[in-house]
Amino acid sequence: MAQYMLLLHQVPNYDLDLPREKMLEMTKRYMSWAESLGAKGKLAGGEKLTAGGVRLVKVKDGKPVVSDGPYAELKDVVGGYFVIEAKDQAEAEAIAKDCPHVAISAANWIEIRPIESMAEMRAQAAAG
Amino acid sequence: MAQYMLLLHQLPATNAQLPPDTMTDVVRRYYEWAEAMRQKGKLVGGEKLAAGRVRHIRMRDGKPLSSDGPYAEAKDVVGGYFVIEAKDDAEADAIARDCPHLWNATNWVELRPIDLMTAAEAPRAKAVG
Amino acid sequence: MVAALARRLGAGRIAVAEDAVQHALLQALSLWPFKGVPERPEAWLATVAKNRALDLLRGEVRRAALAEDLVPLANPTAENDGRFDRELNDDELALLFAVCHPALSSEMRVTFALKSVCGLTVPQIAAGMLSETSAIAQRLVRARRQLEAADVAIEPPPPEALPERAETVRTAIYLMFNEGYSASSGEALVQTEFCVEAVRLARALAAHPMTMSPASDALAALLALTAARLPTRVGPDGVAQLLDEQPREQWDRGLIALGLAHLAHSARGDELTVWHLRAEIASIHALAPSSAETDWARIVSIYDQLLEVDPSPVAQLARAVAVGRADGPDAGLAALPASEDSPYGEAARGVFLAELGQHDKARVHFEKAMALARTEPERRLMEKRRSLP
Repeated sequence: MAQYMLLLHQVPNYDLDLPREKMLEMTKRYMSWAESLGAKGKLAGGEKLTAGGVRLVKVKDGKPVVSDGPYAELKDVVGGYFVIEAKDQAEAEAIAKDCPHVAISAANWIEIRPIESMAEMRAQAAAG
Repeated sequence: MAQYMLLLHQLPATNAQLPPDTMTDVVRRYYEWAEAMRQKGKLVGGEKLAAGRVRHIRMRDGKPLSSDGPYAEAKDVVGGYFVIEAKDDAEADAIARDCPHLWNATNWVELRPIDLMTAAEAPRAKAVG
Repeated sequence: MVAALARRLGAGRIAVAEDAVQHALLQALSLWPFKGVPERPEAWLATVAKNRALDLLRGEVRRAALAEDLVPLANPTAENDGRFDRELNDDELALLFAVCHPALSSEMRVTFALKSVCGLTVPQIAAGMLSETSAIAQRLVRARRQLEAADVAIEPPPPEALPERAETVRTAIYLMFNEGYSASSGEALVQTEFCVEAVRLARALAAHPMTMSPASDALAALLALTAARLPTRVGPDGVAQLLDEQPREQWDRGLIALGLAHLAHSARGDELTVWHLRAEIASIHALAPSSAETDWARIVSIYDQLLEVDPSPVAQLARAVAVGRADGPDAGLAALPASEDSPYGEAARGVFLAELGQHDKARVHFEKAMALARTEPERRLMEKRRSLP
């Protein structure tokens, strides 16, 4: 068993103008997918991230500086994430393909990242 | 109390060829910061992400398709993330500025508030095992 | 730790060992900020380093066949370099003895050792000890609490204390070997690294003046003789091969010789332990030119003795199979224990019924065996048995 992070990419603020019922309906779709995944013991975490309040911390002249993120000007942002459990990459992909995020909008996409663990690192070391 | 996500951005090659002394030093700094934050109840989650093997899923003609995503060729990658608890934006900023990920000038941290309204309505995602 | 591993890998590979192991350790440490410190950091780090060294050992020498992995075991090397000092000069063995602490019950010691030193997961331990995962998890929690309450330090015991802990150490090594020989989960039938490690540990145990005993020699014999069959464990079709099908000329002669040497050495004195009995059975197989020419009657009588001290369902089943070979399928059926949820039990029933010409009934049991299979390799084996004439 390994863990994978699903980063939910989308166009910024695409849902800002949606009527309330549509928003609720979308939320319900995510929630019921998450619940059924949880029931199978395959959901290990997840959060929705706010559209606003994004800040970036960069090093300038050796010091960390916080600035407002250019959220609205970006073409693509991460709107949320899930952490799932799957036996291998293939299963992780099957789960991701089932996530309502990609069906909701053609501009939405999911990035799958394997989560580092001892088993992961051994597999990498053995392969490389 | 609010929760924030710190996405740890870097160049794909940054950690690959670190000399052992530097790596030891960097790991120690992450570890000491993380432990201190955990003790204070401010660090509540996080994962290190494996390098490479990125896959993208998107809809094409009504079907979800998967493809390889860039890693080594990317201009920027996320190496991991932390989830922190802070009483407000100001405290979150302070924690983020202190994050050991900034040991390298080409690394940067994306600070994202977590949407608590949805979290309150949604069933808490159950941790597995 | 690195020095000890470098010694094992041989003088020419020291630089590689140090760099690669250090890198592996640092990689592993880089998880700590995210995951927190593991329960037993020293044992955990020792495992990381050992695993990396093993990977190096396997990768460096290009080995095509499984049998070649076992070559270093069969040939005496510098590892047992004859240093008969009082201290255990094998780090992993020292750690095993350290965790098998008298403050814990035998069962707890073995469980603790398998988890913290041998690197088995809780489900793997549960499978090996015929227990439930939750029971094992609870046992580990209780073990830690007991150790805290007794305020004991986990450290290699003084030489005088070694003999008393030795039996639990032997059991842990045996269970580790079993998990490698017949993986309880996952896609692969065999996990060679567990077998290799277990044989090495058993031999170290048998070699050290403070832990050498007939029982230790018998364990080393058992594991070496069984490991000798690893090259034929899996057939060309990727499915497990039964004893009768294994081409015996491919069994590792070096390991058989080693096992027999340990067996002979274990016969000194008048101690007869379960290890002796199991090793004896393994030696009968190792020396028989074929399944048909095996002294099955003798194997049955050894199982009779074994069952008196260790009445496990696994041993009962193995005895029934031997009875079937010695006295025919009717006797075999009668000797089978009443059905429990064992795919092997159902398969054995199926084989006996098929030998008696009752193919329809046999098929029912083979289907049950497939349904009960716990891993993919097991399922494929049951499927193959179903399709045999």
